[in-house]
Amino acid sequence: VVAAVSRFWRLGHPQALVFDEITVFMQAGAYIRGQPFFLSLHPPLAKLLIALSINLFGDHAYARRIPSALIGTTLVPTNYLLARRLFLSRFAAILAGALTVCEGIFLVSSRLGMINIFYVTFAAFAYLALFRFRQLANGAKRRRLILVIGIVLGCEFAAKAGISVVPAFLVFGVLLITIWKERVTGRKCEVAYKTVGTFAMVGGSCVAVYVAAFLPYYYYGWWTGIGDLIHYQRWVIAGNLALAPTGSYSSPVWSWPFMLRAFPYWSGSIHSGRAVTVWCGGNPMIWWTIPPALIIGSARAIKERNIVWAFAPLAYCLYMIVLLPVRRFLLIYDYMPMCEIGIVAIAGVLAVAWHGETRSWEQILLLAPAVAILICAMRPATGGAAAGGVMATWFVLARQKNQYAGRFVCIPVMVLTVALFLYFYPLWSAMALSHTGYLERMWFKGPGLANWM
Amino acid sequence: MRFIGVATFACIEVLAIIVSPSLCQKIMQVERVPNGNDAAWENGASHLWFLQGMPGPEDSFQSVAGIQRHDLAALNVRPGLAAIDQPIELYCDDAWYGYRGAWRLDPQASRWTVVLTLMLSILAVAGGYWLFARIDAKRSRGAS
Repeated sequence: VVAAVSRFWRLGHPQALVFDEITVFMQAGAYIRGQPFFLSLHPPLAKLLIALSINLFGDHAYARRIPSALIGTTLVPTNYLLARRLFLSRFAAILAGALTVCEGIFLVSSRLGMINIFYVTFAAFAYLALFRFRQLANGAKRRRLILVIGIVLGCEFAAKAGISVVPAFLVFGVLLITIWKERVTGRKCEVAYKTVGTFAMVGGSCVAVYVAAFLPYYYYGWWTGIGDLIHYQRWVIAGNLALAPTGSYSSPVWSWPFMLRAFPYWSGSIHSGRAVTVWCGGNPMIWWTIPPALIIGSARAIKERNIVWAFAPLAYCLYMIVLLPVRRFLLIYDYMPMCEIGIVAIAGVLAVAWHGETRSWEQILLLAPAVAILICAMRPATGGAAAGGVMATWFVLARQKNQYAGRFVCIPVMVLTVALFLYFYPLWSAMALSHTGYLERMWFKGPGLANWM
Repeated sequence: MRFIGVATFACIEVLAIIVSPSLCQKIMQVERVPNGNDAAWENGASHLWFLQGMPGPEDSFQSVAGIQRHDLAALNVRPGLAAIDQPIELYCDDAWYGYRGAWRLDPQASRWTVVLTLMLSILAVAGGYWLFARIDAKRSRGAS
């Protein structure tokens, strides 16, 4: 309910087209009217859904944002269920849901008619189906789940193709590992057949959904055969290679975990000295806790030899490996899929901390971002004092009982997450702020990369 | 039952391959009008302006086909929403080429390749599902 309210409330504000909404809206219009012919570097699924919404509800700001808000809202229960499946803990699931609600980059992407929230949510669906597959014994249900995984991955490719290679590779890899682990001795061909079957099902449904997303191009006669789709792929590659390495608001991949280069998607006219902005930035508490959570998750994966703990760090590293060599300019919203997987990792780590299963170094690592946040959000002296108070309390509790210290770690992390969500909400939802209030929220003001303005 | 299902599926797919090209595919078929002015054409003009009817606003064509300008090689693509068999005069720099064209259904369309791709991917899914089900059934028989 909180997710839906935060995503749908004042969804039509601002009424103006924001950032890439301009091109998405033009393309959606072309799908509705059948003209003019156009090509985009991104496949059409998200834009088709927006076109459908405009057709159903009319041509206004609210209508063109409904699909994003709907799918962005479903990301919350999806992450809840994913964490529950992964960690077999209702507490971890609640934390994952709460963190997803409070994550600003998901919120702002759900409130704009752009394509990013679609592919992130489809990836989360695929992860959820994957871990349900791992926990099921029923053959028929498992086969249906493989189909679901294929269709969802196809939808992800049809929403944003290039980066979708990562979740596809990851999901397919874990599927195969699961199948190979379940092999019965002396029945090698069974594994081979199942591998081929999985490949055919996932690959076939991916291709079918991807090609189906381009059917309007054939319906309107813009394209004639499958060769046009293949030429289009070449055109996309060439187009991406031709893009400049840097652009306004672009930031290097390594800087994303620190959230150095957030930027305004849109700044409205200033009425009576108040600032109205749609801000492309995340919740710093969540972003800065992701790396510690992944480090803790990796240590646990090595110690316990467990795919559950390894999954998030693996996915995160895979995204990094794919994105680091990319030459074209990238923006901070490209961090969204990593952020999604990072949230699940935070939820798992906080849940084990709550149950007193974390060691002191893990607790200190989780508290470090909270200390940094307190210093950034308040004046240095006040923030430093508050941070000192947090660390002192933890130290006292850690000396008494590890479980108390572990539980205590969860409190500043979650309290600060919710507090920062409320604090930054006006920036994500185009609510009017005083100039002082706006500038107070801009923790980094440049010059250089560290700039939120 | 299984045979009937597979046969129906195959029939639908084959029908789709046969029927779909003639349903949608359009090409611009150009013909020379007797005594037309084809000097500009032969002089190697590289672009054509397609205008519906006599010289007028470019929008008159745009509203029909969604394109204003094409090179000669692109004559057979992207007809947009052009009406079939509606005569279109071909102009360049406000001079009539002496050619008249119309969008026609193309019997040689390559649209079937899209249907074929979709069909093959659906067949791959069905085949994979069947393979998986066969192994599961074998295993459960072995267990019992």
